[in-house]
Amino acid sequence: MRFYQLILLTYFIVFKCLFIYSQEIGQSISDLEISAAKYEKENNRLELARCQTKLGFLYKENNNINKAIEYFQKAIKSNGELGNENAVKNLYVNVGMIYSEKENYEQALNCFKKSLQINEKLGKKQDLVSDLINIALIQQSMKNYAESNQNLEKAVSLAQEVNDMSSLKNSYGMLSENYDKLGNAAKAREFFDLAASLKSHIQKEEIKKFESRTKLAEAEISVKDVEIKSRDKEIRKMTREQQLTQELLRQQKELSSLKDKEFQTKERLQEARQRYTYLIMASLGLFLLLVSGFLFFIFKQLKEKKKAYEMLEQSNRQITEQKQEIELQRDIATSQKKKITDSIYYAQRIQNAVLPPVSLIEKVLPEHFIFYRPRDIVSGDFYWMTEKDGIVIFAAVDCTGHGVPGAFMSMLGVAFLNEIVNKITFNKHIRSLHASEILNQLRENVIGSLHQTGKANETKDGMDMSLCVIDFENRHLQFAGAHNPLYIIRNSSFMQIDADKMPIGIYKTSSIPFNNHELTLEKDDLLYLFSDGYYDQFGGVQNTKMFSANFRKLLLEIHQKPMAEQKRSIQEYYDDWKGNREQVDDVMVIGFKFEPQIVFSAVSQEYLWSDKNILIAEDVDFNYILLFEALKPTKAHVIRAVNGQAAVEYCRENNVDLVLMDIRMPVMDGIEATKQIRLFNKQLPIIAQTAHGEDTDIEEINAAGCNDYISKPINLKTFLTVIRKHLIK
Amino acid sequence: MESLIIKEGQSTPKIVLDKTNDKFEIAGNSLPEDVLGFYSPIFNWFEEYIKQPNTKTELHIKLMYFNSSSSKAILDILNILEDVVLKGFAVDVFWYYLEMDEDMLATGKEFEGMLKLPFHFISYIQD
Repeated sequence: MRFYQLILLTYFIVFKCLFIYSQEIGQSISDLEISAAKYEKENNRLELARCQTKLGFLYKENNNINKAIEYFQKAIKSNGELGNENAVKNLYVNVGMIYSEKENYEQALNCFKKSLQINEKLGKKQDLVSDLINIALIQQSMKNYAESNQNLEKAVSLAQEVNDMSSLKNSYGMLSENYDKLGNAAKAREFFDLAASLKSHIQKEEIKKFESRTKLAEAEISVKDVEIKSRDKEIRKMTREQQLTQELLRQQKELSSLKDKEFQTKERLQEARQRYTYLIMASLGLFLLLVSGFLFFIFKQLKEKKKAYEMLEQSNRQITEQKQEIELQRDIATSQKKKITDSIYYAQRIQNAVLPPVSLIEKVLPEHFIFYRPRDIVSGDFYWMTEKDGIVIFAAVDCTGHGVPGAFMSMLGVAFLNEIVNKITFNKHIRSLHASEILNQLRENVIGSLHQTGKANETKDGMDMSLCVIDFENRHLQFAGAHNPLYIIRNSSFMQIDADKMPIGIYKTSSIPFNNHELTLEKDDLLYLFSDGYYDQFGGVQNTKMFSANFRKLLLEIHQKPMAEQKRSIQEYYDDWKGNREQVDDVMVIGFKFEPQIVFSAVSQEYLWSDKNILIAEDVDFNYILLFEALKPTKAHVIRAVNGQAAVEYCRENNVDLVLMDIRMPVMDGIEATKQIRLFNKQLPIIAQTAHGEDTDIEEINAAGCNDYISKPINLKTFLTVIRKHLIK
Repeated sequence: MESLIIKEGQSTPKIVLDKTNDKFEIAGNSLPEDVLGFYSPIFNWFEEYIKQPNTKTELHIKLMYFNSSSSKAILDILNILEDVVLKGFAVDVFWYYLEMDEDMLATGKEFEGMLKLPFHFISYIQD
């Protein structure tokens, strides 16, 4: 009995739920009654019917059965007036169920019959089955089993017609019970079996339906599963949830298979069925979620891929642009480098041009070698020489720095040295020049021109150097050095003349003059001048500096070789030592052999006048000495006349080959003396001496009978050339 | 006072000037193209240092090679340190040279002769 009541209750609840969900929830009864009165007043039947129905349900909920029935009846009336027969029919069912609950079977029967009439009229066979079963149920409760059975028979045939297996099974079940009550065990058994077989059939159908749905879902899931498996963890986590759901579904399936065979378990089946639907819905929902998640993921990936591709393209473009830019820069750099290199190569030509010409060195120092290797194209090392009146000045200079800055310093050095030596020899005879004074003056010039004051943060530039002044006739050597010493090898023994421990440039001791060293040279002495670049070169087995000791050892080993071979040995030793390493600094090593006759032999052939008598008419002692010294290498016989008168007298009585006639003299000047000599000797060469700055009339000199003139202070070479011209005539 | 630490470069020496830990060292080779550029910060550091020097300063100079402009720069540094001695603080210069490198020893001796600083000459053998 309870079972059928539950069916009705279910029906009721479903109906009520549907109703409530279509309406506003939570409206209080009083509010609704006010509304209903309002609608009644307004004659708004539709809203009135709704309010009444709602009130019926609310009262029913609050167990106010009478009020509930009252409002349902009112609603039936209102809906009836509206012609809304569906609502009327449903309301009758509700009221019927309330009466049934209250065991007011007469009224309940009445209500269900009203519903039945409406459904017959509307031709709703499915609802008719429900009505018939409800009626049969009430009749069964009234122990009116035969009548109940009649209605059930009708319900059975209708249920078969509409293929409502559930109602059919319920009808069979009730028939079985009714026949049981009527004592017809056979019939009861027959209908029980029918109901049971139907129940199992329904269950099977349900399961089958569920299984096919599950299978479908599973199939789809497994397809997605494969795709999902290849996706990231998050999706896998979701897959696990899905698997859990499947597990849940399987459990539910098992649960359903374990369903009690008893009729009492029927409603559970229904609930389960509903739950299955929810689960399927949920699984479908989950599935959709997965698919959309998956699609979103794919979409995102595609988008990211596209973005990455775009970024790649952009960076490719940038790289190409950068490459072009770099190539452009490289081309610019290459052309700039070429320009700079070309310009440095041109600078090298200038630097080479200011170095002493080979012809001069060959003439003065025939036995020599120069190993000169700039680290870069141009050099901070340079050598300098000059030759004046049988005196040779030779310097090897190492300017700070190398390359272009070094070369700048070297040009400064060359210019200063030329200027200094010219200035010194202008004022005095080259023989009275000191090696050290050249260094002193050079230092002054460097400090002055570089504006060095000695502060820490200013240019440290300067020079290290060694300088020799060699008087070939007297075999006299002067040496002065700034850091760089002079090596001499004599009779296979090594000598070193130390340099002062200070540079040409600002230094703590730059106010102290350089020392002048003097030494008498012997024939075949070997002199070596150099910069430290040679022995400071890194290399060898241990990659150390060569050190000066090894350099000296090398020189001692090779000093007996001819100069050209010495150069080769020095070069090879350096290259072997350096190996593949970078050249540290500019390199310069100069060596020469002292040959005392060299300068004389150079003049001796053309300028050896040992058989000639040369008269020097000169009143000033110093000027006489200069001329005397200049003529000394020629071995000519030199006679002095202290004025013009003495010169005329000497020429009258002696054999004279040439006269050097000073113009300004006491007693008788040069012009008058020449005129008088010409009276008795037309051929004698007379060469006038004119002094710089003196206002001498060349025409007057020529008119007096002079053959030529020389300017004082004399240039040795010009001087000898002029004399030779007139002597050899 | 902040330390001045410069790693040894291709053509520049290692510099360690660390007042806090009493470490003062110049070591390696010194032949920078731009000598002033390299040594200016070192001069500046010493100029700052001598304002508040440590009671004892031990400067270790262990150079294999230096060009002539670097040698002047080192002399300038030693000149600055001379002022510290005049103020009454102790300064010692440790001048290292390869046993066979008499040129380096000679340069050290040259500096010693010019400065009122105690020099200690330490020869070492190439490792």
